[in-house]
Amino acid sequence: MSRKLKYTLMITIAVILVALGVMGCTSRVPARGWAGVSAINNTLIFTTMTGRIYSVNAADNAILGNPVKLEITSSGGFSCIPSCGTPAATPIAVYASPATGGDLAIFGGFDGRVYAYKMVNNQLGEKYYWRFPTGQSLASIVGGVVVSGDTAFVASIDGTISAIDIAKESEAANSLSIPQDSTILKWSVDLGNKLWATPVVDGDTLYIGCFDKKMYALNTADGSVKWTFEASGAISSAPIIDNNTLYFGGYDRTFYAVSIATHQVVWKFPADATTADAPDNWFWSKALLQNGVIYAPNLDGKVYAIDAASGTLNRAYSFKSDTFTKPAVAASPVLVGDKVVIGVTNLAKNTCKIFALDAAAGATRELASFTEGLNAQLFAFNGKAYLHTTKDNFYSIDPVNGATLKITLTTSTN
Amino acid sequence: MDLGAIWDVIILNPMINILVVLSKVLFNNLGLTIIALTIIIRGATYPLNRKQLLASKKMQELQPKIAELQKKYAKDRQKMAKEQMALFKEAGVSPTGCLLPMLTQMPIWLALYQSIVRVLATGPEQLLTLSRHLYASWPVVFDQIPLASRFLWFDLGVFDPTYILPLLVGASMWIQQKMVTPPNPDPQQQANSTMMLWMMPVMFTFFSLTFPSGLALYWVTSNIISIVMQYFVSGWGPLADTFKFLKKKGGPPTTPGVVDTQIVKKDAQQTTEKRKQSWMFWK
Repeated sequence: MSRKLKYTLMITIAVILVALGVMGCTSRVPARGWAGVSAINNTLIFTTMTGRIYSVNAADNAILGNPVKLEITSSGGFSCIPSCGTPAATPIAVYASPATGGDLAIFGGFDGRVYAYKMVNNQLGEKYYWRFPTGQSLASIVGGVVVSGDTAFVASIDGTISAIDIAKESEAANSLSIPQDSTILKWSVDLGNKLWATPVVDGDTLYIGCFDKKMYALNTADGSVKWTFEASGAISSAPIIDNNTLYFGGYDRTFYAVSIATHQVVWKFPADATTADAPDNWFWSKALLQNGVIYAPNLDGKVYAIDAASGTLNRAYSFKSDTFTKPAVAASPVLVGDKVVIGVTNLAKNTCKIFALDAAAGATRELASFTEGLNAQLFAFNGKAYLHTTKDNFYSIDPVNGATLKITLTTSTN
Repeated sequence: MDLGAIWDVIILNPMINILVVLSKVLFNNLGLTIIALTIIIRGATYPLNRKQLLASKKMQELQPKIAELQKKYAKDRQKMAKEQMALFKEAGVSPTGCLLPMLTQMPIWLALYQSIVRVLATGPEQLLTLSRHLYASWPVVFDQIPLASRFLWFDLGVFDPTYILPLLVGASMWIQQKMVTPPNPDPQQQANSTMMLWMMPVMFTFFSLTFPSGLALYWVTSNIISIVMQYFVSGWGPLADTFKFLKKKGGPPTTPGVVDTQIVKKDAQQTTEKRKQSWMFWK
């Protein structure tokens, strides 16, 4: 083989390998999480993508104590080549806002464990109060935890829902003992397909949407299936429960109202998929119900205001403009005062804008614009909307005057 | 529109949407879909592939002569290069003839590779990203996603914990490489060839241990297709020297020999004849 040809071959192979390597690493984006903000009493809880949880005083945005470290120590190495290199601490990704129950902040990690941190002197304790399971982890957790009474319910992506006995966990934590996972687990049920949604509990029934296109109603006492409703697409958003009706959207670009009494569709939007106002993409996150109107966010960059009683479209709010093309509403809208606050992101360019919607006037107003994306749920607290961007920054926005404040999370022991 | 957006619109998006629709046709089975789409794309690029294989074959057949030249002109590299070029010209072979078709096919392979990674959507970030690649006018793609990731004994979204698939990737790639790596009398050249023979299979086995099984399935399918194509162009080649039982089977010749040399000469004569005719026409 001539030298020239050999070099050409070597270079070509090297280019292919580098291309595959780069594409593999970039396509296999490591889980970073996009946890929303939460609050216990007057303390805000910020969960970063770097494995830190900060307690912040809502009054003055001052950081309270040292951040909690939420990470696992692995053998380290390159992000796409595990088990190679020096030991490294990997942040645990969290995708949902922490659930709060009493003085506990509870959330599920992408490492397949549920962590509970206790509030001590208005800040989260540096070490977790308890975690479940202590043995073999569950499958990764994407959705949030829901607390009802002395039970925390969590869904993992392999289709398992687990009911955790909080009272027994706390008892064991107080006595500094490590309980058997089997004594803590009230029940677990395998729904057989991926679960990325946050469950919702109403009375003795737990509702959760599944990737198998079904909305499940489970008995909270033992996890048995009470009834199911089958949509045409996967469901990853939590339902709203009101007036004995479940309201939720799916990947089939349809928003459903399903009667809890009859388990039948009350209405669906759009009634006819060929209408001009039919959504163009998935209903990805939870809708907001306000004054009989459902504000359903869609990845097509619109929020659909639908009459909850009839299912007729009041108006589709579009956030597309000449300078803000291809928007997507990935975060759930929140109500701050009398304003519906909506976060709209551009998935390709990783930018976002925040809007306030005045439902009475039927008008939207741009509050802020960022050169960072927004996937995390918005959080309303004390008249402000809090957001966590894809560049791991936190902001508070006043929807009345649009005043925006970046919350700086730096301490000497970061 | 930046380059990334152009790539998405022209190549990646069509591939992703076709992959999703095909999965609907193939019983919602992503594994079957990956195999089918790989076969379709390899079939569509067959003319280019054949050119590449023929060029490689011709290069292989010239190896003994090249080795002779290298031996003869070991101390005069300039002369050796000149004689090699003359040899290539005489045989009607372009040294880069096997590279050009391969490079032309690369965007299609890369798009197929990327589309498989995208539709696997193993995490929330990936699924959210996938949403912007779907065609709004194709309702079926919205009902179809997320695609079921179970196939045979493994989950297409994660690496195969039984290690069977990574080993299949390595083995199939080694067979494919072995079929086109002739023995070389020069020890230095032979060492290089041996390194090349093992480097790719080992690297891809390693990739298969870290990447989702969907990609490993694509690599195995693609390798098997390459083996079949290679067999029909040049037989088992040097593989038959390692696995003697392959020599007993019928089919195309296993190693470059008299027949192949005659083909090369005939091809060269035809090429010269065509050039002459073309020249006469313009005259």
